[in-house]
Amino acid sequence: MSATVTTAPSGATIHRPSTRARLMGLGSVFGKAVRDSRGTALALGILFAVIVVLTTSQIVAEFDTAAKRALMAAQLSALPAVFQGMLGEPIGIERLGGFISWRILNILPVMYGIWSIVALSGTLAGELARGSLDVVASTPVARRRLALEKVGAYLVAVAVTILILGVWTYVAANAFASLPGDEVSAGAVAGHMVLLYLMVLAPGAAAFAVAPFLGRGGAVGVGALVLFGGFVVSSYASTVSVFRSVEGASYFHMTAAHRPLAGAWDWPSVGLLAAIVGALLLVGIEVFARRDLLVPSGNRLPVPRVRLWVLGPFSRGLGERFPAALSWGALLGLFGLVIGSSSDEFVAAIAQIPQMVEMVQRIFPDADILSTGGFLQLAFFQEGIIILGLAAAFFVGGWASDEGERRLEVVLGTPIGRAAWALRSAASVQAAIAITVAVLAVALAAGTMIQGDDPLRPVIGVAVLGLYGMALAGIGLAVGGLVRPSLAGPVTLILGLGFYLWDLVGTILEWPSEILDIALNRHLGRPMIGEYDEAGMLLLGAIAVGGVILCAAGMRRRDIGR
Amino acid sequence: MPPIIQAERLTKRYGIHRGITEVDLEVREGEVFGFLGPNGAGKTTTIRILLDLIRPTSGTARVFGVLSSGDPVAIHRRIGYLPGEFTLYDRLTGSETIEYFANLRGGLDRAYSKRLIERLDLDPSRRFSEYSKGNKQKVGLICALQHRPDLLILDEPTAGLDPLVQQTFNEILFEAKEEGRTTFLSSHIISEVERTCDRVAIIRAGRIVRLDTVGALREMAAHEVELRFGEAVPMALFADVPGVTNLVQEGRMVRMLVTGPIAPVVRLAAQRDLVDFVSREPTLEEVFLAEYETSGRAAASASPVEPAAGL
Repeated sequence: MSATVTTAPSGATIHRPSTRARLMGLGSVFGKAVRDSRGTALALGILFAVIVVLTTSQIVAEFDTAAKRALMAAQLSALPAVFQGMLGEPIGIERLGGFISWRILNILPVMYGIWSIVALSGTLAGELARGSLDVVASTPVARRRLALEKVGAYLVAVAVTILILGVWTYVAANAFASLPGDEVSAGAVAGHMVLLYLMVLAPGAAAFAVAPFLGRGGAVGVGALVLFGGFVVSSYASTVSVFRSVEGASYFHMTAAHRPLAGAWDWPSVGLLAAIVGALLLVGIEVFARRDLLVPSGNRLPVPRVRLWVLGPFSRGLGERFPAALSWGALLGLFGLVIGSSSDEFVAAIAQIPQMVEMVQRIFPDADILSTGGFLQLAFFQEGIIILGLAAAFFVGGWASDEGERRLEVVLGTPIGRAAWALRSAASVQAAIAITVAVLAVALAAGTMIQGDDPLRPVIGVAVLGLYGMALAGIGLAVGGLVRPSLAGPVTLILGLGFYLWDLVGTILEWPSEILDIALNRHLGRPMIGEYDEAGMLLLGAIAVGGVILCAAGMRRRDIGR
Repeated sequence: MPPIIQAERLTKRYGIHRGITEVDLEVREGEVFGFLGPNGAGKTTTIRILLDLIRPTSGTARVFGVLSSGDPVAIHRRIGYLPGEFTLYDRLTGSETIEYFANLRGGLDRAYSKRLIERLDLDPSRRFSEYSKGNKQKVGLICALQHRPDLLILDEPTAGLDPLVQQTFNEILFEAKEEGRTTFLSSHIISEVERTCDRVAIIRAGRIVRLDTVGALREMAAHEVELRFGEAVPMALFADVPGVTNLVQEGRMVRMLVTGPIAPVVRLAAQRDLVDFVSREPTLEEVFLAEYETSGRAAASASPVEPAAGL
């Protein structure tokens, strides 16, 4: 690892770190940060590269003539924005590049954005909270340089991910090109990847800028607001009038016209985004360099300090997660309130287009889609699935930290059995999800009542979302109890995002339903419009409860503190 | 010779909470300086200001004559720091951790770090997360010592170490002192400070309440004196001697506490049939506890008294 050898004034032989160690090893703060993130960077790059290649091959096989492509493009472009929803405006989708851009790459800044928030909110604030930053900051590495090296390493990691994706997008588009105009140039791929790179960084940069003030938890909240708020506002601005007034603040909206793979270029918007991202990162670096190295406090919701929170493992676990449960519920509830109270606008817009009503009724036979519930099913439920998955992973991760940070050993030093602790503390995770869902349900019910509609179905729909979140948490808890706590949060997160991607990609690739149905989110029915999947709900409930029981069984058997 | 550490009216407030108040300190080159105080007294706050991890509300701190917030990198280049509470990187092994922190200081002196690893009896092949508390402390100590810093700043350095390793650690401190290096040792383990330090500052509720050599602090404290006579001697004989307190008589024996010079008591006792004389020097622990009791009483008497109910 060390290359240069020099002799110090004391006569000691000093082995200086090699260039390789400085760039990707233990030779510098930058090198270590690159070393720590290389696995994730490669995995994320390869994952989406595989999705791009598979999707491209399937599309080319299915739409093998210009006429089929044109028909598909016309149908998709005719959909109102709410049906296009999370994928944005279809631009040039009759060509391969345009289709890849619309179907796969438009969702990528959301998926990678979560990584960006987690990484950039924690790179300094997380290390400060752990206690290792004091030691690093007492070495002759100036604070500004320390922050710069940490951020620089993450910029490199994202660049590697995007590079992998870009290379395979270029290869796939040109290898499978079957119609005139399918080929894409290296310049177009590069132009698109520059946009993706900046969009991935944007929410993380916002989190990084506020982390010295708010700590890691608050920074994650701000990053999530920038990411999901920007995404939802941009996706539904044409349907929800409230969003139209703020869509200019969304970086998704700002850069929507830059889709080089589809032949649309808008470099000024990309330049503006680059300037914003750069400024946010510089703010974070400068603030870190100037402020005291103290873990910020007082940024959590003010929860009354009541004895209720210290009655036992259940109440302690719930007390620990209660502020976050309220925050998650309020965040998602605000979105639900806006969407719910905008349903009349949507219904009115759809009703003016008889062909559209006919098409909607073909897609959802026997369902009153022209209602608040129908609108919520279309515009709210899918986003709810992702956010409930994230919330479940957050709560399960918090539960696992009891063991990871060795608090559990103190608790188990008291006369409480392992299984009893596991049952009660795991139940507190499920209760936290229930609180999130309850807050969300109140907001959504308020939104529908503003429209003069019956809130029952939306509330039941939210309950189904909650059941899904609990099922994901149940799996994470079971893994944490049976195997090791450090896996619990990541498994929940991977499943939450994985099920969504499985459904998305599998539907595009027309996988058999037996394979597609592996994704738990395919067993939720369409509860907002009164279509219930009773078997699915039973399955989700069984996983939620069974996970807690398996967790307790595992905790009884395995070593503690792994 | 300019002091290695110089703090002048150093004050730090965390919002409404007290940090430290007008702390004045000077640590001289080559000495082992003890910083004594109970939990929460302000030891770590002082250290973190010296390292520019936090900035003072008022006052100044200089290390090697450099303002701590002016050029912290120049200071950090010459110091080795062990925090009181820390955790390092769970996935790195002990040797990787040691190498990383050596690299951040320019490079690794393999021979010296290997010697430290052997002396502190550390298995460097295990991951940091697998280490016991004591072994984590050893890794932290090696990271602080391996570049032979001019100034060691150690916050509770022996926490979690077994007695044998504590002994080795003391030897390393003495070697550093012999080489002319300076140590600033923060602790609440009084025996450790007494054993290793030249001078000691006692901090209480954010303020320095005593600063002197270990010997002088002992001198300032009361000696426990026991006089045995051939016949019963009235203890009132000693009551007016300056510095005498806590007089107790048990038959032909008189016990007392003497603060300051002991000679007047000896002269007075010698005029009687003195059979035996025992004087025990106070330990630093007794000095420390006495200081805290005194300061505590002073603080209590200075506190406003709440009026009784009904007044």
